[in-house]
Amino acid sequence: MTKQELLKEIKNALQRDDDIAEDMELESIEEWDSLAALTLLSLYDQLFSVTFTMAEIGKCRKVSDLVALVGDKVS
Amino acid sequence: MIKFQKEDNYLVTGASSGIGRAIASKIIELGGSVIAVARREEKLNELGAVSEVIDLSAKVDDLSSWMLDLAKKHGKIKGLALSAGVQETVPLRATNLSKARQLFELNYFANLALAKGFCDKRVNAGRGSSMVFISSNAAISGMPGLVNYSASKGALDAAVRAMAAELARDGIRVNSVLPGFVRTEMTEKWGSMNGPTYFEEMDKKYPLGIGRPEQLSGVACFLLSDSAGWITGQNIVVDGGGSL
Ligand SMILES: NC(=O)c1ccc[n+]([C@@H]2O[C@H](COP(=O)([O-])OP(=O)(O)OC[C@H]3O[C@@H](n4cnc5c(N)ncnc54)[C@H](OP(=O)(O)O)[C@@H]3O)[C@@H](O)[C@H]2O)c1
Repeated sequence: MTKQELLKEIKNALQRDDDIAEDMELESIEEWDSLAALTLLSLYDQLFSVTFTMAEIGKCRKVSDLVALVGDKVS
Repeated sequence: MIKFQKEDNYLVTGASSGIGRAIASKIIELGGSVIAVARREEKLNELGAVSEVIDLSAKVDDLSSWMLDLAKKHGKIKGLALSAGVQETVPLRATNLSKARQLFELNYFANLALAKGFCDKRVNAGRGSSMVFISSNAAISGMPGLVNYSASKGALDAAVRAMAAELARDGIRVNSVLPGFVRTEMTEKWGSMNGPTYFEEMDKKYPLGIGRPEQLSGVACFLLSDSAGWITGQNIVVDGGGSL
């Protein structure tokens, strides 16, 4: 999967109209909340068969941190 | 005081871990015989009962005839305690339908097939036989991320009432137990997902604290026993007051 495809997956998981960019702060994204974090856990499990903890997701500050979690799996 | 007879066979699924294992141990402690079912043989063998190693979700269509084979091999079965199950926390928006069906395959359809096998008079021990399904308090109280899991347990609870009505004429009782949060392998996984203070936080949500598997085994054995001879079709919540 390419980075652009992943960003689209994250955008859809957040049910967001506008695109997201790597440099965006998660706090500035209206749709980012605990249910969105839980959704991302499921998404990564389904896409890459990797299980992250809520604590690991909680440490992410920017969209790029979310991407970095699966950095070795995107091109 | 509940007592079982050595010649009374109880088939317990999920007997390799957690609640199922505690039920199997309790039946043995009370004098009964157990056919212990799960995938991990070495864990089952620790019980010192008869072990039957099977992946219940891989063989759903064969489970009813498998029960007939078991009855031929080990003798008729007096009771079922069906604890094998999986829990997945998946928000609705992330639901993948084929994974959702897989969860139902184990949590609902495998149990349905085992119940079908058990209602065969060549399998059950006749009047006084009984089934106990391990459901969840998630079937009666909504929690984010548990849409499909809750539905699988709600399906079981509804089936229990209909089965009880259908099988009463044969003297077979059917009930379910709805546990709240119990510390087992299943919840250890959630603990590592949710961070170090998770168990403490859950403990505070339960008036009597979170549960231990042994706090479910007594109720399951009671329901399997003749002491519960006039109880059928019930969904019994055992959750330390968690759903109050
Ligand atoms: N713990 C709780 O807080 C809680 C609360 C409410 C309801 N429940 C319900 O209680 C039941 C037992 O849960 P638990 O907490 O004791 O979980 P657990 O410790 O994870 O045990 C699950 C059992 O199911 C067996 N199992 C899983 N998949 C199987 C398969 N495909 N084929 C055969 N066996 C399978 C496992 O054995 P192998 O891995 O060896 O196959 C294991 O013995 C479940 O139905 C669960 O939904 C639990």
